[in-house]
Amino acid sequence: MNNIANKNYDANFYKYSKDKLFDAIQLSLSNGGDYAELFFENTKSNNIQYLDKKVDSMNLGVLHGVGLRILHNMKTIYLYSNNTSIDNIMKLAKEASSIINDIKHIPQNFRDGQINDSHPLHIDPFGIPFSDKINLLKSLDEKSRAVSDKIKQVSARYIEKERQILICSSRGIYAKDNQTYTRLISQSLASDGKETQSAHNSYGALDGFEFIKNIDIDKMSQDTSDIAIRMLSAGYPKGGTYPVVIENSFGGVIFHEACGHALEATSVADNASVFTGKMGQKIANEVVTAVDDGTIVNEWGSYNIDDEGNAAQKTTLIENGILKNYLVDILGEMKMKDYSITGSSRRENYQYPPTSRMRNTYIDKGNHTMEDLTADIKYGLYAKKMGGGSVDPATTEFNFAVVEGYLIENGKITHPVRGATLIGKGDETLMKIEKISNNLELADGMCGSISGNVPTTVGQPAIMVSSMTVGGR
Amino acid sequence: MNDKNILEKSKMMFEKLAKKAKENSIDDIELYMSKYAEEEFRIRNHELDTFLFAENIGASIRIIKDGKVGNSYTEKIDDSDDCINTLFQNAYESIVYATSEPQYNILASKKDSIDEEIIKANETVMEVDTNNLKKDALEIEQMLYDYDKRIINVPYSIIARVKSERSIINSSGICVSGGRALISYYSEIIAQENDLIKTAGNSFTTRFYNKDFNATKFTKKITDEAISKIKSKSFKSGNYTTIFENNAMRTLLGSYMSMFSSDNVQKQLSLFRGKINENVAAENLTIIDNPNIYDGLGNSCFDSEGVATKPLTLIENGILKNFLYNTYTAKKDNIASTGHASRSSYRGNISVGSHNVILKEGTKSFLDLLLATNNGIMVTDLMGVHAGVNPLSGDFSLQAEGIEIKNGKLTDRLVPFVVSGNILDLFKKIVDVGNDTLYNVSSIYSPSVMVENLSYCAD
Repeated sequence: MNNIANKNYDANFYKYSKDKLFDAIQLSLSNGGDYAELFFENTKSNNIQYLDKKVDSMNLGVLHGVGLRILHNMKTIYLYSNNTSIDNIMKLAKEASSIINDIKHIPQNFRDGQINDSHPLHIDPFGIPFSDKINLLKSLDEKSRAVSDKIKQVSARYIEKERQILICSSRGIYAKDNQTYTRLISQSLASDGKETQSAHNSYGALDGFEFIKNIDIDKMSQDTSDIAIRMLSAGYPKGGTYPVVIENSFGGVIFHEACGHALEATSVADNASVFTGKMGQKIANEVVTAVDDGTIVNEWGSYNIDDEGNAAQKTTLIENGILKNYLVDILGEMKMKDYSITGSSRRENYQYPPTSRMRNTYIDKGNHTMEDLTADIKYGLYAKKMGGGSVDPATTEFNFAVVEGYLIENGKITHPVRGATLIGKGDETLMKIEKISNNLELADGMCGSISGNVPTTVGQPAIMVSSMTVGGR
Repeated sequence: MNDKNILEKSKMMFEKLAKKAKENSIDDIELYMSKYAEEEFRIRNHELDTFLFAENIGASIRIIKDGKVGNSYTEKIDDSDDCINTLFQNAYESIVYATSEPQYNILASKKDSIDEEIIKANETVMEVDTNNLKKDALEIEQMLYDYDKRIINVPYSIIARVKSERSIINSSGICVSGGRALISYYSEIIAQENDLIKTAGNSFTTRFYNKDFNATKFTKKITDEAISKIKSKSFKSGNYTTIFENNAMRTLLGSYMSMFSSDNVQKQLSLFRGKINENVAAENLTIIDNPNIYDGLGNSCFDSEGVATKPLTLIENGILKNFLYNTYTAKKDNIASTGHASRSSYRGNISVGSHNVILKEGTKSFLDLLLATNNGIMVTDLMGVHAGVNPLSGDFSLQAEGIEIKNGKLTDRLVPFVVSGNILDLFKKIVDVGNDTLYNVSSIYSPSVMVENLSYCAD
């Protein structure tokens, strides 16, 4: 662990005196309200896109602003601005409080803001010269093209982001964190003159440049180009309803869409989730145990503190099929009474009020082998690599795309197929997860919802779903 | 600080940046600044549940030295030199590595721009009293609950008002600013009968308050849809003649717009590459981009580089006519920019994008289309297009909702299903185009469209 870098806590950003901030919180609650919070953000991000065998674009920038939130009788007032001067903050506080007409609320004094840093930064990426990053992208491009002359285009992207946040609230929170992310994404486009297919791959972490250096570029480029080429000759699956085996890693997007969103307090507390009122009940097949863990060291969806300033937690959502927990933020806690916060309140940036969101969400490993999963299937689909999807949490009607698929015929994985979208109802699909293998893996993604796009990890071992509706031709 | 006129503010900032540019022997510099103010009233349980108020300003610069481009943006805008220095320094640093073809990197020039310097935002929506907006949102919620007792939950009824302004100044003489102000309505409901739960939602965005919006029509569409979904039935997977209702067609077309980008064409990322003046669709398909239409949500007199906009035909009677160009891509193809430089915001680099994309209406009414369809499916909604549409291969496989068509009539609501195909194939299979264009949802406008056999899968 020689490469641990000091995290940047820019003195200029944290210039506000605690007394002034406390005054602002106090002023916010001067006409009533149950909770007030200030969220300061200064995010530096660099984005390099290598496309068409050259640096296509570089985008360096700074996001800077403050969000003020007041909760009053479970109602939200949210104001934000780029003007982070203390005068403007007092102005916002005055404006927001003028909307309320109730009895003054006395905030708790700020407690010591020391947080436990559980996610060491291995090599500050901002200290690495751009030329190193570009060389990496160049090599990813060249290796992806070298796989075959059918690879006609490659795009490689490097992203680094340093999110400095400071949160203080009427619950006595005064906390700051530096969240540094790095991510590498590649896409290969294959064409045989008639058909065109593409595939992509990505690796991301709440960590520095060492994470990027450790990525196996040979494997990443080979895998990505291979899939694009293989899909050129793929047919379409038969449309219909039949068993589906979903591979590990990003396959976990199925749980994320089919179930995860409907366990967020955002929808549960407003009776807009099918899982409202189902605590302690069986909502999934007994082989299913699912976890949302914001504490995994340096993982893409992890952090020290959430965007309400509370420490991240590990939350067991489902244990042996029984619903154990929701993902709860402060507003959710107020609305749901019997539930406590799970440290999973998140927002893309200061422009969004935070809400309960997933972090690193996965189905835990089972005891089957891959062969067990396919053994009894006469005709089915093996979804090796998944794309994105979406869900309506009220009905749990979901969809997601299969990027790389194969037919299962008489227990064996046979021909490649493409262009299949899987649909279903989350509450029904959870019951139909009949077998789980032991090859648990996680994968990085971006999740978009009402508080914006946040880094989330999905994951699972390979699972067998006894029936799903498969779109084919 | 935010009270100053955006153009005035830009001019001050540009002056400082131009000085820095000169010091560093940089000839070309462009400053893009945008500013917006937003108010959102979210109603739930007959009360104001969330009130959001925001003001935001940001700037980005593009500098060119020996044909090499550097970009950077910031939201930290104050009168200090610090902010100018960081903004400039970041762009300057990135210049060293930008290897994209230097001969094509130029700024738009004054002669391509517009005469009028300032286009004022339509201020009528800004004059509406906030209490009226709140009252309207409350009324919409009440109308939704009153419609049917099976409507058990209205998760939200929202009215939002956004005013946005932008300015562009560059060293080639461009100096423009303009703005727009919009009001949007969003609602969603949950309907339940026995154990069956269904949802529906609707949105409407307009430049004119109290002119085109009809609350009864807006709410009825949502409630009718949710109630009808409760009684949905399954159907046999297979191929069916299809009518994409205006909203579904708008969604589908929008997700393939990247095919018209010259940037994607040049990078071999568009299926339309090399197909100009070729037949790419049925004769009844014409697609136009028009930067100025009545209640256009993408209306704009100049693009994100300051180039004057004008209508452009993309597909005419099935023939591919034009791609969308900005200054860089146009130079590469040795033509003039079509005025389609685009920026998602000051945070994004210059790319290529459309203003108001219009799929041209045919002569038939929606009912005529129905009557001409003996048996088939009308697709009302498409979900998960970010995942189920592949603009590179043209393939799509999408979760959808719809209604069965029997003997020229709409009959039963269908359970959610998957509809699959390929956009190039679909364009060629267009049988007829209706005249029921849907406005006020996004800057893509389409009537309902009838298409030959598409593949369907259902539970």
